[in-house]
Amino acid sequence: MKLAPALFALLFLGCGAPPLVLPPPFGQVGDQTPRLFFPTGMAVTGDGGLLVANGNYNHAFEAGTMVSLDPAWINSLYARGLRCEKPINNGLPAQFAAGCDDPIPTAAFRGIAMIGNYAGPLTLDDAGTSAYTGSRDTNILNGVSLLPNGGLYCHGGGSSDIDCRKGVIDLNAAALLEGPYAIVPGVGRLPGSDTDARVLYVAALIPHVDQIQSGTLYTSATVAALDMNDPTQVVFSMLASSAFFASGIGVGPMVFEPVRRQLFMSGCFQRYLGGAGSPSSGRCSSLSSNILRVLDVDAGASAQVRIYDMSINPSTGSTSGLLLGGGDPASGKPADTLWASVRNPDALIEMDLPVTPSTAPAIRQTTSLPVSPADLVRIPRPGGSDLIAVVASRLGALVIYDTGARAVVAQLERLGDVPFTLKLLPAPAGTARLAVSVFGDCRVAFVEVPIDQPWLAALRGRAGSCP
Amino acid sequence: MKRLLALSAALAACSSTVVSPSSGDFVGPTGLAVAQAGDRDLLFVTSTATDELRALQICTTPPLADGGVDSSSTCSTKEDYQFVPAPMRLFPATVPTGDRPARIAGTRLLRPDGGKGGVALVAGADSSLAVVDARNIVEAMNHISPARAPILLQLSTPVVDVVAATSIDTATNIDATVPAVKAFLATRGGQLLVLDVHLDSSGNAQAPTVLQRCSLGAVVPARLALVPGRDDLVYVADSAGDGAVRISTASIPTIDQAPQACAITRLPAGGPLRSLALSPQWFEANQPDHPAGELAVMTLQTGGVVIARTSDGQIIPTPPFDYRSSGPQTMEPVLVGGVARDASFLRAIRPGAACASAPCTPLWVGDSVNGKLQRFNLLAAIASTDGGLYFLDVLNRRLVNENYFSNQGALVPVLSIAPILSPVSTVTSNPPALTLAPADATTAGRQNLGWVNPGVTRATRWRAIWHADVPGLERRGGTMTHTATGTLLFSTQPADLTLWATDPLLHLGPGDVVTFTTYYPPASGCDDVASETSARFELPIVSIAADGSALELATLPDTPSVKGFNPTCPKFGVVAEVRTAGDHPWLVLENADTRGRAKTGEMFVALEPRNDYPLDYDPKLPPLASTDIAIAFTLSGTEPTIANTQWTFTMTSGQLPTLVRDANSPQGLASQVIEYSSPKVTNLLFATLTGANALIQAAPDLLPVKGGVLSYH
Repeated sequence: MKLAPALFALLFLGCGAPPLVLPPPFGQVGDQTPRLFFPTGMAVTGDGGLLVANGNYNHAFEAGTMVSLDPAWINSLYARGLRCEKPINNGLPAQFAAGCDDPIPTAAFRGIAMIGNYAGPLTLDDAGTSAYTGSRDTNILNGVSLLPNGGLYCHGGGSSDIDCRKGVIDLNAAALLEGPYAIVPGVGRLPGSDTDARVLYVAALIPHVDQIQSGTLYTSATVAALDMNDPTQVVFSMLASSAFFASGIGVGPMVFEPVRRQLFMSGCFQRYLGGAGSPSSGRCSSLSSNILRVLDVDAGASAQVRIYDMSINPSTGSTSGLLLGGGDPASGKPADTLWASVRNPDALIEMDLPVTPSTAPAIRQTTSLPVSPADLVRIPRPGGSDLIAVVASRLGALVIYDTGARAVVAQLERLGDVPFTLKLLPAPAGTARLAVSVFGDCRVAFVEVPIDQPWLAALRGRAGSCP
Repeated sequence: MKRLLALSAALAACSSTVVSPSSGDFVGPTGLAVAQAGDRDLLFVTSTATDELRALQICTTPPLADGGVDSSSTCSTKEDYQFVPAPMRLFPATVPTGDRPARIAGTRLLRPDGGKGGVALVAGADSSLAVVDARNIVEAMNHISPARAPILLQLSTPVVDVVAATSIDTATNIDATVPAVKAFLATRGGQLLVLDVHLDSSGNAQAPTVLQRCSLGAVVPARLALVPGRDDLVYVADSAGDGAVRISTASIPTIDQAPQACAITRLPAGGPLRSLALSPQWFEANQPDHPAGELAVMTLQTGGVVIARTSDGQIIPTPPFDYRSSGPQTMEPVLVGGVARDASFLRAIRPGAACASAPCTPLWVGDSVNGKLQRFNLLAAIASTDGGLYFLDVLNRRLVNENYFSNQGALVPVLSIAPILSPVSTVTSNPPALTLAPADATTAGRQNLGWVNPGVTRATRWRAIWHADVPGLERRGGTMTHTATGTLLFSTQPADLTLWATDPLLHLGPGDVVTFTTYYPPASGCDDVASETSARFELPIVSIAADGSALELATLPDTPSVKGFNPTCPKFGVVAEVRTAGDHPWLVLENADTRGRAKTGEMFVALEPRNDYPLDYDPKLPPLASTDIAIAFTLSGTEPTIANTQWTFTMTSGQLPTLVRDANSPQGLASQVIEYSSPKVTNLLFATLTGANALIQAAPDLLPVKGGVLSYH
């Protein structure tokens, strides 16, 4: 009796390969209603729509997807004015306003395209017509283009081509870049050139194993500069770490400073021997592995990374998000502050980026944050001090930090399990609207912040859920 | 096994014995304050990330003269220093108060029946102030009355900080129980409110009444502080302006009047503040007792700690000049390990039977074997981001330092690793040397070998590098062209080279050199460049373009033995490495920080901000900022020939500050420190280690004793 299923399976396999389990709505098995599954990176389109990368982190399907959400639907969520962060009753079980946890209606998906697995941060090109995100398992860069109506198709393909799993470039083959993760637009000028090239900087989360000697791994991590107009072309690549500096560790968060023409990188990921097969990868285990790395991009392949230790004063364990502040590229003013969400302890770090070259970057201020802070985004306040929104992934919360008062002024909970990425949406004057991809709950949470009274921030809706 | 667990659970549920947990189960503890609840005090601690409070019980009835327990006390030894338990007694009780509670004020209030009560006023991210009845929490724990939810005082904006006035019994120097107290709160909206806090006719907490209000205007409040035992003045630490402001309570308009600006008196501190604390009444031998509020310890946003007189609002002078005098210069900020975040005065002990004359405030300095109980006039505890609690000897303007009391000679910094040249020079005649500056006993700042100064020289590694990479210009991409005068022009982006030229320590200029690590020749016609070797030569800088976009470089003529560099290629790309050379070819670094450029045969003197005043100083040779020398040395002998040849040596600081820390919480991030005294204990310190989810408790006079320092997690 027990042998029957196995026998059936063997017979089934013997008859041919198992069917591909494609993600909704492309599959044949199960509910094919479009939805989010382990959403990670997001980008906001020119018309206020939202692109969300589904990471497929439980590998339930053969691929991830990128979806395009309708700005009209997003605006309608905000228009309801719901407050979903607190129950509407004062007893148990807690009850929340109707509509707080609605699924995303099928009509709100303007387009869906298949991409590779394990998508990370997502970015749009300068024209706002193509979006890119890396796949850590295959080292490919996924590229998806937008139609004027918000529909999606594969970059470089026809408008009906929506199976984009092959990606636009294999970064390992082209630049020895493994585990593409952080991706930011920027400029670079190759030595000898008189003009800037618009590029996409893509960093390796997973270090590349250069050699193994006597059981010791010697690794490096690459940042590739891809031609913005044709990301199949690597303009140049730089080393963010090697056996000689930064211990060969991979890159987590990365930001580009256009006036200084520098990349700021943090995070610590390493390869290690263990188990069978190729060396594994993971977060660095050492408490003293929190370094800030800076690359002058115009030095191209000869760029030499500068290292600043962020693990000493005050002691911090790792950095999970970076954000530049105080700069004005239009007037040529370089950023003077680097914000970092750090863990162990959980805190927001304000780091001084001095203009004087002899003065090294130093931590100016440390503010305690809720458990496991991650992505952060700046909310500009005309005529006032900026706000910074930070997600606390373990608490499922969003905190608002006032850079003027230098204090957390609001904490909004109930976003869900592991909020991941934050993006600013277009908003009416006087408010800021934030979209938060909630990785573990397969949803996007929508937050509204009155910028003059940030403590009145509200969770306007939680769209989507895991099956 | 399952049966055993079930039995254990059943026993726990049926037991009537209060099992008080010693674990606080905090997440992000931040604020703390003490409120009275009968014959015990409750130390409220915010578990900020979980929107709750925890309460640590501290019995207040002193032991009998024979050391026995007073039978009239209802606070048992099993409850002392244990958290108020939840109904499920294995866990600490949680008091939900609203979003992200971060600041608390505690009170000692008299109940109408003569009993002792108190409330905690709790502020967080909500636009309300929560009032928690301390006595009700204890009564609920003992099943005497049901737990009541906190009472909310609704406000228009969240509260930045809240403080409550105390009344001090002059006979015992301990906080007294009073029918009503004033509390002060500052809001995000820039309002300062004065509240009347008292219990209702049943002895229970009630919402405070707002009595007075004024607008703080441009002052961005970070913290509030009151003079111990007084409610006539309130101080506001300004996180945007310079220092703090003082506001007289009497000057604040009543709530029924139109809103007005607060009448402020500013106490400058040299920058925006993170917090401040006011001195308690303190005692000095052969002097009248000093009133409370005479001095303010102000913690700057930068982490420095300065002391100011409140009488004239001036920072006190550098030692050894009396704190009441103007002195030749105000003190420089004292720095602790990490970044200071909060400070609290210890209660000054009045001379009496145990201590005949001041100073009488005890602090154990040193280890349990060689240490000794030292006594001070006025002490403050400083909580830092490194998780440590440091002690400031306020009148001497210095951190309490073990070496000061046990081995003053060790206070002077010395070399821990002598200078080493790498690569080693092979020159035998006039070899390179690094010589520390000789001591000069008659000149301030130069009394020690190398002109090192305790409180200035830090435990760091120093390097002097010949033809060093200029920081920030280690690799710079650009384009090479020829000028009309036959020199070469290196053009680069961004056009910011003037930043290096005007840098007060780097002074990039003519004479410094550039080498090329990589060449990017055009596709054809530049074979001489295409075949060039990386970093083969150095080209001197002739000039720096006024707009910072280019360096004019000299060419390198051929010699009979060495090929020069005078390319015919009209335009090609390079990656340049800019190095120190010319008149001052040595770059001096302290750890990763640039300290300046040095020249062979010329004394290099590194001036740095002072971080402490660990010595007793001669008024004739006061420690002024102009003499804050970290190190001085001279490089001599034959200059190296290999770029990046470097001298390296390491210094000790000589400083061994008395420090309290939780060995299990190395990551620290302390947020607040308070002093606690009761009829039973004096000067117990509590500090929240927000980053470590811990509360640290220290008895300053018992630091090396088991139990002298405790941590609750």
